[in-house]
Amino acid sequence: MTITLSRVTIRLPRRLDPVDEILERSGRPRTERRLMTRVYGMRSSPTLDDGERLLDLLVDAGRAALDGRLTSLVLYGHTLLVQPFGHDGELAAALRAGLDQPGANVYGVSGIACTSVLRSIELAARYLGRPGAADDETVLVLGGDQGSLGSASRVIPGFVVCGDGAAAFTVRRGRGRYRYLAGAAARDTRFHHNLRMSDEDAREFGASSVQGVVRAIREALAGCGLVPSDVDWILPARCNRFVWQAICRELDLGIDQVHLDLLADQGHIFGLDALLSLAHMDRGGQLRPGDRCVLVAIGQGAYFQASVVEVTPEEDTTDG
Amino acid sequence: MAELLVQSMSVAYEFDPPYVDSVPELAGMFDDSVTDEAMTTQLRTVAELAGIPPHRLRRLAGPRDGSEPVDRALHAIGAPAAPQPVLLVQDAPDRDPFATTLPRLIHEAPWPVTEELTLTHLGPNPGCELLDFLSWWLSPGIGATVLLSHQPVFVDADRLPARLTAVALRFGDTGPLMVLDWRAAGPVSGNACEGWPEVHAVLQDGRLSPGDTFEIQSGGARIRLGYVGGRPGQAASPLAVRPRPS
Repeated sequence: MTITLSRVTIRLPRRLDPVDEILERSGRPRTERRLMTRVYGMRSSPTLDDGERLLDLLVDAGRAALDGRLTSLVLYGHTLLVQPFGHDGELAAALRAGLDQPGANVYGVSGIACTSVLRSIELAARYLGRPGAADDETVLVLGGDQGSLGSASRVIPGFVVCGDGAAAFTVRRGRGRYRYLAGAAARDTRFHHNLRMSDEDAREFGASSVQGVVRAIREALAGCGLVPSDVDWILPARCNRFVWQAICRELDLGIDQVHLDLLADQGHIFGLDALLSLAHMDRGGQLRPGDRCVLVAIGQGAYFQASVVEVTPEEDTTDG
Repeated sequence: MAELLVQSMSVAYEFDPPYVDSVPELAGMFDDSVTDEAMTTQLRTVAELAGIPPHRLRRLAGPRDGSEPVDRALHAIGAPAAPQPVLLVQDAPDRDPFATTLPRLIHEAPWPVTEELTLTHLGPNPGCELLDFLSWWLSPGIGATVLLSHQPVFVDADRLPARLTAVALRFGDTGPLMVLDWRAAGPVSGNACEGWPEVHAVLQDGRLSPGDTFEIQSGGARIRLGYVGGRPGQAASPLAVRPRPS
């Protein structure tokens, strides 16, 4: 069964808050502010303005991705569990109404932090492969979080600043912009303390992240009969360049294959990082048919996810 | 659709849970990483979104004995025969806003977990949504342990819950209880834990005979169940009931 993804629709707030200001507001020490801005090169972070709502971005992105199609399943991958729309029935009802999909099952997918959006691709593939599934069914995957809800969700100390945004794409059988080849997950739950990690754990987390990402990428590639040298692009979870240099050394890939261009202006946007890169490169004409891209997510806890997709020729694309 | 058979189950409660005034409680949990002002702003936002006046917003504090109901439910259900996935169904944020529940549960689980996931935002009929999800997500021959957690974190001071509940349900290819069908119960909403503690009680009491069918109301769903025989965790006898055609 061939599973494909549509092009990714992105909805980011126009407002960009300077990273240094965010860190200062959050009471972070001057040394950390300099590390993030001068060494890691983070300049700004998308931020919802007064009156803007994450829910509207999700609905808008979802409608664009569906492009008039019906869906029976909406998977909303999110990192944060404190959400601007709470936890009761309002989100599911608002998405069904906003997307004009009154009959769809809606599920929030979480607990695995920023890997939840890419993991939703695997869930979608499983759903489409269930006995009795129709050939033309469509799954809508939404992703998005609001880091600006509070300082606790805005800054991963010493690591990255998290912004606001939403993205959406559809998963179907048959033709589509990206052929989904395989995915794999890894975990290291020693780091479940998350923001309560000790300094020692935080140092180990960096090394564990490198190993976790390498493991997930190797397994995902093996799942579709590929090896690292078959990879054209790594679309990364946005952490600093040094982490990616270490990962590239392990996989014998060049750092220029890792798309980190958006780190400076966007920072980290939870589970959307790799999707933002995919959309950005596709819009900019940087992707050619046959290119193999590995989308990577890293989640606190810790979780690692790799998804391998292949760019299809334009004539095979039925999605916008 | 896969047959949904409950192999074993457990229930855990926390009575008189500790709800505290949010602002001083949360501010005290930080070191120097977040200012009180920032935290207050976040809580004001939460209160506004929940429709609760900020002065009446109460937040669930850590458990007095160190373990949440979901920990105890997972411990009580014991290890499966073979490694399997864990699905956590939450209707609220994590109790500790700075640590993460799911990886902690997996880290502390005394048996290997193949895959884990949290489901959120199941809407007004979480009972139906959950069973719809399981009907295609469960892998035959492997099953899964499903943890249902009803643990409101932010509440109105005038409406403090008397208890928190967690239910662990282990689904497999055999088991004493079969989910026969489910449907929305009309304009009734609720949480996904509802109804299952009563099922657990009647199974423990041995009041059912093989072939008995009965209905529970759970999270806005009417769920029809059939008793196959045996007690949770025991080897199941051959199926005596079959799903009603849908």
